[in-house]
Amino acid sequence: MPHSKGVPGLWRLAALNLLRNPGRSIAVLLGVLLVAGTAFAGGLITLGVNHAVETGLARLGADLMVVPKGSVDATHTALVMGEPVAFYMDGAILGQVAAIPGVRAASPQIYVETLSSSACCTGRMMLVGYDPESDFTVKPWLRYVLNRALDPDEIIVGNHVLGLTGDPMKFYGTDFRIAARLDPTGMGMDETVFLPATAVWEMAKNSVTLAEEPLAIPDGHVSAILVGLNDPAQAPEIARQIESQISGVSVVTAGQITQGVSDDLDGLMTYLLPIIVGVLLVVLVLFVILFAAIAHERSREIGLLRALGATVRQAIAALLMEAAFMGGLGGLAGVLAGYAVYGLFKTAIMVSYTLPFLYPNATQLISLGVAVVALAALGGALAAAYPAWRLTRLDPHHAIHAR
Amino acid sequence: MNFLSRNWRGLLFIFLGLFTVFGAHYFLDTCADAGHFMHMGDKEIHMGCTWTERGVIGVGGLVAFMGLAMLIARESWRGLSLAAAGAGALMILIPLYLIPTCAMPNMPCNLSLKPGSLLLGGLVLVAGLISMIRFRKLDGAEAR
Repeated sequence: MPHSKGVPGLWRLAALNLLRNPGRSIAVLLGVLLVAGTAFAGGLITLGVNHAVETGLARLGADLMVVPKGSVDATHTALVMGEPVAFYMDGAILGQVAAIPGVRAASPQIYVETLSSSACCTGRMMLVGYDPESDFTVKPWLRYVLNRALDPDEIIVGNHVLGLTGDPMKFYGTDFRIAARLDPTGMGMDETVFLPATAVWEMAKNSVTLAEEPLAIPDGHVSAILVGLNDPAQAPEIARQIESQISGVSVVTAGQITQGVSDDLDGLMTYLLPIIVGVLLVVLVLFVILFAAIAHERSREIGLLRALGATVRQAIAALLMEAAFMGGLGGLAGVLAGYAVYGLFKTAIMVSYTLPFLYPNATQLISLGVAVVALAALGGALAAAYPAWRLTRLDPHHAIHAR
Repeated sequence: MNFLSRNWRGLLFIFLGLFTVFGAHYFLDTCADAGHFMHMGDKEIHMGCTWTERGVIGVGGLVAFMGLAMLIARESWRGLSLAAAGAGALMILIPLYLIPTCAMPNMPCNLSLKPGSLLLGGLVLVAGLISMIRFRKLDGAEAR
Protein backbone atom coordinates (compact mmCIF):
# COMPACT_ATOMS: atom_id res chain seq x y z
CA MET A 1 0.00 0.00 0.00
CA PRO A 2 1.74 3.25 -1.12
CA HIS A 3 1.99 5.76 1.72
CA SER A 4 0.46 8.69 -0.23
CA LYS A 5 -2.75 6.73 -0.86
CA GLY A 6 -2.71 4.94 2.49
CA VAL A 7 -3.10 8.00 4.72
CA PRO A 8 -6.30 9.42 3.13
CA GLY A 9 -7.63 5.84 3.11
CA LEU A 10 -6.96 5.53 6.84
CA TRP A 11 -8.69 8.90 7.48
CA ARG A 12 -11.73 7.66 5.57
CA LEU A 13 -11.68 4.44 7.57
CA ALA A 14 -11.44 6.49 10.79
CA ALA A 15 -14.46 8.63 9.80
CA LEU A 16 -16.53 5.57 8.79
CA ASN A 17 -15.65 3.77 12.04
CA LEU A 18 -17.05 6.68 14.07
CA LEU A 19 -20.39 6.28 12.28
CA ARG A 20 -20.61 2.60 13.26
CA ASN A 21 -21.92 3.48 16.69
CA PRO A 22 -23.21 7.07 16.42
CA GLY A 23 -24.65 7.17 19.96
CA ARG A 24 -21.30 6.32 21.54
CA SER A 25 -19.42 8.71 19.25
CA ILE A 26 -21.87 11.57 20.01
CA ALA A 27 -21.48 11.06 23.79
CA VAL A 28 -17.69 11.36 23.55
CA LEU A 29 -17.93 14.26 21.09
CA LEU A 30 -20.20 16.16 23.50
CA GLY A 31 -17.65 15.68 26.30
CA VAL A 32 -14.80 16.99 24.12
CA LEU A 33 -17.06 19.85 22.98
CA LEU A 34 -17.67 20.86 26.60
CA VAL A 35 -13.96 20.85 27.54
CA ALA A 36 -12.83 22.59 24.34
CA GLY A 37 -15.65 25.16 24.53
CA THR A 38 -14.89 26.07 28.14
CA ALA A 39 -11.14 26.20 27.49
CA PHE A 40 -11.63 28.39 24.41
CA ALA A 41 -13.97 30.75 26.29
CA GLY A 42 -11.46 30.96 29.18
CA GLY A 43 -8.62 31.78 26.77
CA LEU A 44 -10.77 34.32 24.93
CA ILE A 45 -11.70 36.06 28.20
CA THR A 46 -8.04 36.27 29.29
CA LEU A 47 -6.91 37.67 25.92
CA GLY A 48 -9.85 40.10 25.70
CA VAL A 49 -9.48 41.43 29.25
CA ASN A 50 -5.74 42.08 28.78
CA HIS A 51 -6.40 43.79 25.43
CA ALA A 52 -9.09 46.00 27.00
CA VAL A 53 -6.89 47.02 29.94
CA GLU A 54 -4.01 47.95 27.61
CA THR A 55 -6.29 49.95 25.29
CA GLY A 56 -8.23 51.58 28.15
CA LEU A 57 -5.19 52.68 30.14
CA ALA A 58 -3.56 54.07 27.00
CA ARG A 59 -6.77 56.05 26.35
CA LEU A 60 -7.01 57.26 29.97
CA GLY A 61 -3.70 59.03 29.42
CA ALA A 62 -3.03 59.76 33.12
CA ASP A 63 -0.52 58.12 35.44
CA LEU A 64 -2.47 58.79 38.65
CA MET A 65 -5.99 59.73 39.71
CA VAL A 66 -6.56 61.63 42.96
CA VAL A 67 -10.05 60.94 44.36
CA PRO A 68 -11.80 61.55 47.70
CA LYS A 69 -10.83 59.08 50.43
CA GLY A 70 -13.13 56.05 50.37
CA SER A 71 -13.91 56.39 46.64
CA VAL A 72 -11.25 54.05 45.27
CA ASP A 73 -13.57 51.07 44.69
CA ALA A 74 -16.24 53.25 43.06
CA THR A 75 -13.56 54.82 40.81
CA HIS A 76 -12.33 51.36 39.82
CA THR A 77 -15.88 50.26 38.91
CA ALA A 78 -16.50 53.50 36.99
CA LEU A 79 -13.25 53.20 35.04
CA VAL A 80 -13.63 49.52 34.27
CA MET A 81 -17.40 49.17 33.76
CA GLY A 82 -18.71 52.74 33.33
CA GLU A 83 -20.96 52.32 36.40
CA PRO A 84 -22.09 55.90 37.16
CA VAL A 85 -20.57 57.47 40.28
CA ALA A 86 -20.76 60.90 41.89
CA PHE A 87 -18.40 62.02 44.66
CA TYR A 88 -16.83 65.40 45.29
CA MET A 89 -13.84 66.99 47.04
CA ASP A 90 -12.54 70.53 47.44
CA GLY A 91 -11.19 71.90 44.12
CA ALA A 92 -8.35 73.71 45.96
CA ILE A 93 -6.56 70.35 46.16
CA LEU A 94 -5.66 70.83 42.46
CA GLY A 95 -3.03 73.46 43.31
CA GLN A 96 -1.51 71.26 46.03
CA VAL A 97 -1.26 68.28 43.69
CA ALA A 98 0.25 70.37 40.85
CA ALA A 99 2.93 71.69 43.27
CA ILE A 100 4.30 68.23 44.10
CA PRO A 101 7.70 67.64 42.46
CA GLY A 102 7.55 65.22 39.53
CA VAL A 103 3.99 66.19 38.53
CA ARG A 104 3.96 67.30 34.87
CA ALA A 105 0.24 68.09 34.55
CA ALA A 106 -2.89 67.98 36.73
CA SER A 107 -6.46 68.47 35.57
CA PRO A 108 -9.78 68.22 37.44
CA GLN A 109 -12.85 66.25 36.32
CA ILE A 110 -16.44 66.37 37.61
CA TYR A 111 -18.53 63.17 37.62
CA VAL A 112 -22.30 63.30 37.32
CA GLU A 113 -24.74 60.41 37.48
CA THR A 114 -27.71 60.98 35.16
CA LEU A 115 -31.31 60.40 36.18
CA SER A 116 -33.15 57.34 34.85
CA SER A 117 -34.48 58.25 31.45
CA SER A 118 -38.22 58.69 31.06
CA ALA A 119 -37.85 57.46 27.49
CA CYS A 120 -37.60 53.70 26.98
CA CYS A 121 -35.04 52.33 27.78
CA THR A 122 -31.69 53.99 28.29
CA GLY A 123 -31.02 53.65 32.04
CA ARG A 124 -28.44 55.75 33.88
CA MET A 125 -25.19 57.08 32.43
CA MET A 126 -22.04 58.70 33.70
CA LEU A 127 -21.19 62.24 32.58
CA VAL A 128 -17.60 63.43 32.89
CA GLY A 129 -16.96 67.19 32.87
CA TYR A 130 -13.35 68.13 31.97
CA ASP A 131 -11.52 71.45 32.27
CA PRO A 132 -10.57 72.52 28.70
CA GLU A 133 -7.76 74.79 30.05
CA SER A 134 -5.73 72.17 31.91
CA ASP A 135 -7.04 68.95 30.34
CA PHE A 136 -4.49 66.55 28.85
CA THR A 137 -6.56 63.35 28.66
CA VAL A 138 -9.76 64.20 26.70
CA LYS A 139 -8.35 66.81 24.30
CA PRO A 140 -6.01 64.36 22.48
CA TRP A 141 -9.07 62.22 21.54
CA LEU A 142 -10.99 65.37 20.56
CA ARG A 143 -8.20 66.28 18.15
CA TYR A 144 -8.38 62.73 16.79
CA VAL A 145 -12.18 62.39 16.40
CA LEU A 146 -13.29 66.04 15.95
CA ASN A 147 -10.22 68.23 15.39
CA ARG A 148 -11.83 71.20 17.18
CA ALA A 149 -13.07 72.20 20.65
CA LEU A 150 -16.63 71.32 21.75
CA ASP A 151 -19.37 73.96 21.53
CA PRO A 152 -21.23 74.65 24.82
CA ASP A 153 -24.13 72.37 23.84
CA GLU A 154 -21.99 69.56 22.41
CA ILE A 155 -20.91 66.28 23.96
CA ILE A 156 -18.56 63.50 22.95
CA VAL A 157 -19.81 59.97 23.69
CA GLY A 158 -18.23 56.59 24.41
CA ASN A 159 -18.59 53.85 21.82
CA HIS A 160 -21.55 52.07 23.47
CA VAL A 161 -23.68 55.17 24.11
CA LEU A 162 -26.72 55.15 21.82
CA GLY A 163 -27.35 57.82 19.17
CA LEU A 164 -25.75 59.15 15.98
CA THR A 165 -23.61 62.24 15.50
CA GLY A 166 -25.91 65.30 15.68
CA ASP A 167 -28.59 63.44 17.68
CA PRO A 168 -30.00 65.30 20.71
CA MET A 169 -29.55 64.06 24.29
CA LYS A 170 -31.18 65.57 27.35
CA PHE A 171 -29.57 65.57 30.80
CA TYR A 172 -31.20 67.26 33.82
CA GLY A 173 -33.49 69.15 31.43
CA THR A 174 -30.63 70.61 29.33
CA ASP A 175 -30.38 69.68 25.63
CA PHE A 176 -27.07 68.59 24.12
CA ARG A 177 -25.98 67.29 20.69
CA ILE A 178 -23.61 64.40 20.02
CA ALA A 179 -20.52 65.87 18.34
CA ALA A 180 -18.47 62.68 17.98
CA ARG A 181 -18.11 59.09 19.11
CA LEU A 182 -14.94 57.49 20.48
CA ASP A 183 -13.40 54.19 19.35
CA PRO A 184 -14.17 51.19 21.59
CA THR A 185 -11.86 50.50 24.54
CA GLY A 186 -13.76 47.71 26.28
CA MET A 187 -13.57 49.76 29.51
CA GLY A 188 -15.99 52.11 31.25
CA MET A 189 -15.18 54.97 28.88
CA ASP A 190 -17.37 53.22 26.30
CA GLU A 191 -20.43 53.99 28.47
CA THR A 192 -19.41 57.56 29.37
CA VAL A 193 -20.43 61.00 28.05
CA PHE A 194 -17.75 63.74 28.05
CA LEU A 195 -18.49 67.49 28.11
CA PRO A 196 -16.68 70.67 29.25
CA ALA A 197 -16.93 71.42 33.00
CA THR A 198 -18.56 74.79 32.20
CA ALA A 199 -21.45 72.91 30.59
CA VAL A 200 -21.80 70.79 33.75
CA TRP A 201 -22.04 73.90 35.96
CA GLU A 202 -24.58 75.46 33.58
CA MET A 203 -26.60 72.21 33.55
CA ALA A 204 -26.55 72.11 37.38
CA LYS A 205 -27.79 75.71 37.55
CA ASN A 206 -30.61 75.07 35.04
CA SER A 207 -31.60 71.75 36.63
CA VAL A 208 -33.31 73.61 39.50
CA THR A 209 -36.06 74.73 37.11
CA LEU A 210 -35.79 72.22 34.22
CA ALA A 211 -35.13 68.81 35.79
CA GLU A 212 -37.36 66.44 37.80
CA GLU A 213 -34.58 66.38 40.39
CA PRO A 214 -31.96 69.16 40.71
CA LEU A 215 -28.28 68.34 40.18
CA ALA A 216 -26.44 69.34 43.35
CA ILE A 217 -22.67 69.82 43.05
CA PRO A 218 -21.04 71.77 45.91
CA ASP A 219 -19.47 75.05 44.69
CA GLY A 220 -15.82 74.79 43.70
CA HIS A 221 -15.75 71.02 44.17
CA VAL A 222 -14.37 68.41 41.75
CA SER A 223 -14.62 64.60 41.61
CA ALA A 224 -11.10 63.61 40.59
CA ILE A 225 -7.77 65.09 39.59
CA LEU A 226 -5.98 63.36 36.74
CA VAL A 227 -2.22 63.55 37.09
CA GLY A 228 0.50 63.19 34.44
CA LEU A 229 4.05 62.55 35.67
CA ASN A 230 7.44 63.44 34.23
CA ASP A 231 8.53 59.86 34.88
CA PRO A 232 5.65 57.33 34.98
CA ALA A 233 7.93 54.87 36.80
CA GLN A 234 7.72 57.14 39.84
CA ALA A 235 3.93 56.69 40.09
CA PRO A 236 3.87 54.58 43.32
CA GLU A 237 6.28 56.96 45.09
CA ILE A 238 4.43 60.14 44.08
CA ALA A 239 1.10 58.49 44.98
CA ARG A 240 2.45 57.92 48.52
CA GLN A 241 3.62 61.55 48.69
CA ILE A 242 0.20 62.88 47.65
CA GLU A 243 -1.60 60.71 50.19
CA SER A 244 0.74 61.76 53.01
CA GLN A 245 0.77 65.51 52.17
CA ILE A 246 -2.91 66.05 51.34
CA SER A 247 -5.53 64.88 53.79
CA GLY A 248 -8.84 63.29 52.73
CA VAL A 249 -7.68 61.92 49.38
CA SER A 250 -6.72 58.54 47.92
CA VAL A 251 -4.63 57.93 44.82
CA VAL A 252 -5.40 55.35 42.15
CA THR A 253 -2.46 54.27 39.96
CA ALA A 254 -2.61 52.55 36.57
CA GLY A 255 -0.88 49.58 38.22
CA GLN A 256 -3.67 49.32 40.82
CA ILE A 257 -6.30 49.28 38.08
CA THR A 258 -4.43 46.49 36.25
CA GLN A 259 -4.00 44.57 39.52
CA GLY A 260 -7.70 45.00 40.40
CA VAL A 261 -8.75 43.66 36.99
CA SER A 262 -6.28 40.79 37.36
CA ASP A 263 -7.79 39.89 40.77
CA ASP A 264 -11.31 39.94 39.31
CA LEU A 265 -10.13 37.74 36.41
CA ASP A 266 -8.63 35.29 38.93
CA GLY A 267 -12.04 35.20 40.62
CA LEU A 268 -13.69 34.13 37.35
CA MET A 269 -10.96 31.60 36.54
CA THR A 270 -11.39 30.06 40.00
CA TYR A 271 -14.82 28.94 38.77
CA LEU A 272 -13.77 27.99 35.25
CA LEU A 273 -10.62 25.97 35.95
CA PRO A 274 -12.19 23.25 38.15
CA ILE A 275 -14.91 22.80 35.49
CA ILE A 276 -12.30 22.42 32.73
CA VAL A 277 -10.11 20.04 34.78
CA GLY A 278 -13.08 17.97 36.04
CA VAL A 279 -14.66 17.51 32.61
CA LEU A 280 -11.23 16.91 31.04
CA LEU A 281 -10.60 13.99 33.43
CA VAL A 282 -14.02 12.50 32.69
CA VAL A 283 -13.46 12.85 28.93
CA LEU A 284 -9.99 11.28 29.12
CA VAL A 285 -11.41 8.29 30.99
CA LEU A 286 -14.24 8.08 28.41
CA PHE A 287 -11.69 8.13 25.58
CA VAL A 288 -9.61 5.34 27.14
CA ILE A 289 -12.70 3.18 27.77
CA LEU A 290 -14.12 3.90 24.31
CA PHE A 291 -10.92 3.04 22.49
CA ALA A 292 -10.29 -0.01 24.64
CA ALA A 293 -13.77 -1.19 23.57
CA ILE A 294 -13.12 -0.24 19.93
CA ALA A 295 -9.76 -2.03 20.01
CA HIS A 296 -11.43 -5.14 21.39
CA GLU A 297 -14.20 -5.02 18.76
CA ARG A 298 -11.68 -4.51 15.99
CA SER A 299 -9.09 -7.08 16.96
CA ARG A 300 -10.27 -9.28 14.09
CA GLU A 301 -10.23 -6.37 11.61
CA ILE A 302 -6.76 -5.23 12.69
CA GLY A 303 -5.52 -8.84 12.52
CA LEU A 304 -6.85 -9.07 8.94
CA LEU A 305 -5.18 -5.77 8.04
CA ARG A 306 -1.89 -7.08 9.45
CA ALA A 307 -2.32 -10.40 7.61
CA LEU A 308 -2.92 -8.46 4.37
CA GLY A 309 0.41 -6.72 4.79
CA ALA A 310 -0.33 -3.64 6.87
CA THR A 311 2.58 -2.75 9.13
CA VAL A 312 2.29 -2.38 12.93
CA ARG A 313 2.71 1.38 12.39
CA GLN A 314 -0.23 1.50 9.96
CA ALA A 315 -2.41 -0.52 12.31
CA ILE A 316 -1.61 1.84 15.21
CA ALA A 317 -2.08 4.85 12.91
CA ALA A 318 -5.61 3.69 12.00
CA LEU A 319 -6.74 3.78 15.63
CA LEU A 320 -4.83 6.93 16.55
CA MET A 321 -6.22 8.78 13.53
CA GLU A 322 -9.72 7.79 14.55
CA ALA A 323 -9.10 9.16 18.06
CA ALA A 324 -7.43 12.34 16.74
CA PHE A 325 -10.27 12.81 14.25
CA MET A 326 -12.86 12.50 17.00
CA GLY A 327 -10.87 14.81 19.33
CA GLY A 328 -10.33 17.39 16.57
CA LEU A 329 -13.98 17.30 15.50
CA GLY A 330 -15.17 17.73 19.10
CA GLY A 331 -12.56 20.49 19.57
CA LEU A 332 -13.75 22.36 16.49
CA ALA A 333 -17.40 22.08 17.58
CA GLY A 334 -16.33 23.23 21.06
CA VAL A 335 -14.52 26.28 19.71
CA LEU A 336 -17.54 27.30 17.63
CA ALA A 337 -20.01 26.63 20.48
CA GLY A 338 -17.73 28.35 23.04
CA TYR A 339 -17.42 31.41 20.80
CA ALA A 340 -21.20 31.58 20.20
CA VAL A 341 -22.28 31.03 23.83
CA TYR A 342 -19.60 33.38 25.17
CA GLY A 343 -20.67 36.00 22.61
CA LEU A 344 -24.26 35.75 23.90
CA PHE A 345 -23.38 36.04 27.60
CA LYS A 346 -20.24 38.21 27.28
CA THR A 347 -21.76 41.36 28.76
CA ALA A 348 -23.43 39.47 31.62
CA ILE A 349 -20.14 37.74 32.55
CA MET A 350 -18.14 40.97 32.35
CA VAL A 351 -20.67 42.92 34.42
CA SER A 352 -20.89 40.14 37.05
CA TYR A 353 -17.10 40.02 37.52
CA THR A 354 -16.41 43.76 36.87
CA LEU A 355 -14.15 42.93 33.95
CA PRO A 356 -13.42 45.04 30.87
CA PHE A 357 -13.37 43.22 27.53
CA LEU A 358 -12.30 44.02 23.98
CA TYR A 359 -12.18 41.25 21.36
CA PRO A 360 -8.58 40.38 20.48
CA ASN A 361 -7.54 40.71 16.83
CA ALA A 362 -8.38 37.99 14.27
CA THR A 363 -4.87 36.48 14.28
CA GLN A 364 -4.93 35.93 18.06
CA LEU A 365 -8.49 34.59 17.91
CA ILE A 366 -7.71 32.11 15.11
CA SER A 367 -4.44 31.03 16.82
CA LEU A 368 -6.36 30.33 20.03
CA GLY A 369 -9.00 28.30 18.15
CA VAL A 370 -6.35 26.29 16.24
CA ALA A 371 -4.44 25.61 19.48
CA VAL A 372 -7.60 24.31 21.22
CA VAL A 373 -8.51 22.05 18.24
CA ALA A 374 -4.91 20.76 17.99
CA LEU A 375 -4.79 20.03 21.74
CA ALA A 376 -8.14 18.22 21.57
CA ALA A 377 -6.89 16.08 18.66
CA LEU A 378 -3.59 15.38 20.44
CA GLY A 379 -5.38 14.56 23.71
CA GLY A 380 -7.66 12.10 21.88
CA ALA A 381 -4.70 10.39 20.19
CA LEU A 382 -2.78 10.14 23.48
CA ALA A 383 -5.78 8.66 25.30
CA ALA A 384 -6.11 6.00 22.57
CA ALA A 385 -2.38 5.26 22.43
CA TYR A 386 -2.32 2.54 25.10
CA PRO A 387 -5.26 0.44 23.78
CA ALA A 388 -3.82 0.78 20.26
CA TRP A 389 -0.38 -0.32 21.41
CA ARG A 390 -1.80 -3.37 23.22
CA LEU A 391 -3.77 -4.40 20.14
CA THR A 392 -0.76 -4.30 17.84
CA ARG A 393 1.20 -6.59 20.14
CA LEU A 394 -1.24 -9.38 19.25
CA ASP A 395 -0.14 -11.87 16.66
CA PRO A 396 -2.33 -11.46 13.48
CA HIS A 397 -3.42 -15.11 13.67
CA HIS A 398 -4.51 -14.77 17.32
CA ALA A 399 -6.17 -11.41 16.62
CA ILE A 400 -8.30 -12.92 13.82
CA HIS A 401 -9.38 -15.85 15.97
CA ALA A 402 -9.61 -13.91 19.23
CA ARG A 403 -13.45 -13.64 19.22
CA MET B 1 -38.44 -0.80 20.94
CA ASN B 2 -38.97 0.99 24.25
CA PHE B 3 -41.05 4.09 25.07
CA LEU B 4 -38.07 6.49 24.99
CA SER B 5 -36.88 5.27 21.58
CA ARG B 6 -40.35 5.52 20.09
CA ASN B 7 -41.17 8.95 21.49
CA TRP B 8 -37.82 10.75 21.74
CA ARG B 9 -38.93 13.58 19.46
CA GLY B 10 -42.08 14.39 21.39
CA LEU B 11 -40.33 14.15 24.74
CA LEU B 12 -37.43 16.32 23.52
CA PHE B 13 -39.74 19.14 22.42
CA ILE B 14 -41.90 18.92 25.54
CA PHE B 15 -38.69 19.27 27.59
CA LEU B 16 -37.32 22.16 25.48
CA GLY B 17 -40.68 23.95 25.49
CA LEU B 18 -41.21 23.67 29.25
CA PHE B 19 -37.56 24.58 29.85
CA THR B 20 -38.15 27.76 27.83
CA VAL B 21 -41.38 28.62 29.65
CA PHE B 22 -39.98 28.12 33.17
CA GLY B 23 -36.49 29.40 32.29
CA ALA B 24 -37.82 32.65 30.83
CA HIS B 25 -40.27 33.14 33.71
CA TYR B 26 -38.04 32.27 36.67
CA PHE B 27 -34.40 32.60 35.59
CA LEU B 28 -34.10 35.11 32.72
CA ASP B 29 -34.40 38.67 34.03
CA THR B 30 -36.31 41.54 32.48
CA CYS B 31 -35.67 45.15 33.53
CA ALA B 32 -38.84 45.03 35.64
CA ASP B 33 -37.46 41.97 37.51
CA ALA B 34 -34.44 44.11 38.39
CA GLY B 35 -36.65 47.02 39.52
CA HIS B 36 -36.26 49.26 36.45
CA PHE B 37 -39.42 50.99 35.20
CA MET B 38 -40.23 54.00 33.02
CA HIS B 39 -41.71 56.90 34.92
CA MET B 40 -44.66 58.88 33.65
CA GLY B 41 -45.59 61.26 36.41
CA ASP B 42 -46.23 59.07 39.44
CA LYS B 43 -46.87 55.98 37.33
CA GLU B 44 -44.35 53.18 36.83
CA ILE B 45 -44.63 51.67 33.36
CA HIS B 46 -43.06 48.35 32.26
CA MET B 47 -40.30 48.61 29.67
CA GLY B 48 -40.59 46.79 26.32
CA CYS B 49 -38.64 43.75 27.53
CA THR B 50 -41.58 42.61 29.68
CA TRP B 51 -43.48 41.92 26.46
CA THR B 52 -40.41 40.26 24.93
CA GLU B 53 -40.45 37.79 27.83
CA ARG B 54 -44.15 37.07 27.37
CA GLY B 55 -43.59 36.47 23.64
CA VAL B 56 -40.77 34.00 24.34
CA ILE B 57 -42.85 32.21 27.00
CA GLY B 58 -45.73 31.91 24.50
CA VAL B 59 -43.51 30.37 21.82
CA GLY B 60 -42.00 28.02 24.45
CA GLY B 61 -45.51 26.84 25.30
CA LEU B 62 -46.18 26.26 21.60
CA VAL B 63 -43.00 24.12 21.30
CA ALA B 64 -44.13 22.01 24.28
CA PHE B 65 -47.55 21.62 22.64
CA MET B 66 -45.89 20.47 19.38
CA GLY B 67 -44.01 17.86 21.43
CA LEU B 68 -47.31 16.66 22.84
CA ALA B 69 -48.75 16.52 19.31
CA MET B 70 -45.77 14.36 18.25
CA LEU B 71 -46.67 11.86 20.99
CA ILE B 72 -50.31 11.73 19.90
CA ALA B 73 -49.90 11.87 16.11
CA ARG B 74 -46.54 10.17 15.57
CA GLU B 75 -47.02 9.92 11.80
CA SER B 76 -46.77 13.76 11.59
CA TRP B 77 -43.27 13.85 13.11
CA ARG B 78 -41.53 15.42 10.13
CA GLY B 79 -43.98 18.30 9.67
CA LEU B 80 -44.11 19.01 13.39
CA SER B 81 -40.29 18.96 13.58
CA LEU B 82 -40.14 21.56 10.82
CA ALA B 83 -42.73 23.67 12.65
CA ALA B 84 -40.68 23.38 15.87
CA ALA B 85 -37.59 24.58 13.98
CA GLY B 86 -39.67 27.56 12.82
CA ALA B 87 -40.70 28.23 16.42
CA GLY B 88 -37.00 28.20 17.37
CA ALA B 89 -36.32 30.81 14.67
CA LEU B 90 -39.22 32.86 16.05
CA MET B 91 -37.70 32.67 19.54
CA ILE B 92 -34.52 34.20 18.07
CA LEU B 93 -36.36 36.88 16.11
CA ILE B 94 -38.53 38.04 19.03
CA PRO B 95 -35.81 39.71 21.17
CA LEU B 96 -33.90 40.90 18.09
CA TYR B 97 -36.60 42.41 15.85
CA LEU B 98 -40.21 41.52 16.63
CA ILE B 99 -40.46 42.67 20.26
CA PRO B 100 -36.95 44.05 20.85
CA THR B 101 -35.46 44.30 24.33
CA CYS B 102 -34.32 47.66 25.76
CA ALA B 103 -31.88 49.82 23.82
CA MET B 104 -28.90 50.11 26.23
CA PRO B 105 -26.63 47.05 26.04
CA ASN B 106 -26.08 46.95 29.83
CA MET B 107 -29.76 46.87 30.81
CA PRO B 108 -30.71 43.70 32.78
CA CYS B 109 -32.84 42.31 29.93
CA ASN B 110 -29.89 42.50 27.52
CA LEU B 111 -27.65 40.69 29.99
CA SER B 112 -30.09 37.89 30.74
CA LEU B 113 -33.37 37.56 28.79
CA LYS B 114 -31.96 38.36 25.34
CA PRO B 115 -28.92 36.00 25.33
CA GLY B 116 -30.97 33.31 27.10
CA SER B 117 -33.75 33.52 24.49
CA LEU B 118 -31.25 33.43 21.64
CA LEU B 119 -29.57 30.34 23.12
CA LEU B 120 -32.89 28.54 23.75
CA GLY B 121 -34.15 29.54 20.29
CA GLY B 122 -30.92 28.21 18.73
CA LEU B 123 -31.30 24.90 20.59
CA VAL B 124 -34.95 24.51 19.51
CA LEU B 125 -34.05 25.41 15.90
CA VAL B 126 -31.19 22.88 15.75
CA ALA B 127 -33.27 20.22 17.56
CA GLY B 128 -36.11 20.79 15.05
CA LEU B 129 -33.79 20.38 12.07
CA ILE B 130 -32.10 17.26 13.51
CA SER B 131 -35.50 15.82 14.40
CA MET B 132 -36.49 15.96 10.72
CA ILE B 133 -33.85 13.32 9.95
CA ARG B 134 -34.92 9.66 10.16
CA PHE B 135 -32.54 7.65 12.33
CA ARG B 136 -32.57 3.98 11.37
CA LYS B 137 -31.64 2.61 14.79
CA LEU B 138 -33.92 4.92 16.80
CA ASP B 139 -36.90 5.14 14.49
CA GLY B 140 -36.84 1.62 13.04
CA ALA B 141 -39.26 0.92 10.24
CA GLU B 142 -42.08 2.93 11.82
CA ALA B 143 -40.99 6.44 10.88
CA ARG B 144 -41.04 7.13 7.16
